[in-house]
Amino acid sequence: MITIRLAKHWRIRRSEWLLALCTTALGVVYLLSPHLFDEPKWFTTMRSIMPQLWWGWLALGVGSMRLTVLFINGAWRASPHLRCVGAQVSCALWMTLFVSTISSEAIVQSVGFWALFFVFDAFSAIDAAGDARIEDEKARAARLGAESGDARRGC
Amino acid sequence: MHGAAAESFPEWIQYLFVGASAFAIFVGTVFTYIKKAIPARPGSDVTVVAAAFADKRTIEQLIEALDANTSSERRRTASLEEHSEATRQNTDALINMLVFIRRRAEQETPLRGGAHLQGE
Repeated sequence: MITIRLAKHWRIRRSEWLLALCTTALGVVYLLSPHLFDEPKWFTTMRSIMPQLWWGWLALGVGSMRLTVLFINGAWRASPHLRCVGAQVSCALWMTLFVSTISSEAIVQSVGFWALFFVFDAFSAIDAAGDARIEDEKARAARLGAESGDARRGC
Repeated sequence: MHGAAAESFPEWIQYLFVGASAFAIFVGTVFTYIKKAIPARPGSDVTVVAAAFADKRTIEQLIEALDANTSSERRRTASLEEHSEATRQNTDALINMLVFIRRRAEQETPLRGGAHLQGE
């Protein structure tokens, strides 16, 4: 069932998969290179918000959560809600990276990536919010149907 | 803060930028959630969802409106039937009159244009 849904949604959610993988990869990189933020020229904004280790765990946690939710997408009612929250957190991460990069001593080539990641994750969050609404309405319709069925049967 | 670029971006502006963008995305998702239209296609389960989306009171109001509309349509149909009957009677009367005129004309044709007409 999950595999069928995955095959169906894969095409329309490729960018979401990519961004979830990027978030996870970023977390892995931050955790495996603990002295990355020690370089004074870079990561100024990120360093001033919280330590590298926390950023690493945050990115890894959110990325893993997004991948898991994308995998089980649809099979669990709350999955679009979690997709939406995950994309929003990732948006904040990309924007912090973008601001951190443009605030650094020299603009590096990755500055464009973070801005584009932010834009595409914003679209992902908005799409997921729409999916969440549809799932909620379906659940509500099912509940109303069950209630009216009980009323007809005199339960 | 380091370098020329950093000097032009004070810390508070950076935080503001990050915070404002995160807030904008949040507002965008909430707005999408609230305004998301449920597409209604006949025969799909989404139609059922759309129908069930209206709450109980709205459904009751809809039923009342439908009842009122049905009564109004029934009255209109009855009125149309009456009208139709009157029209049919009028048509019959007209046909009868035409038949009468024609018969009369057939009977009187041989005499037309002569003393008979003047006599009448």
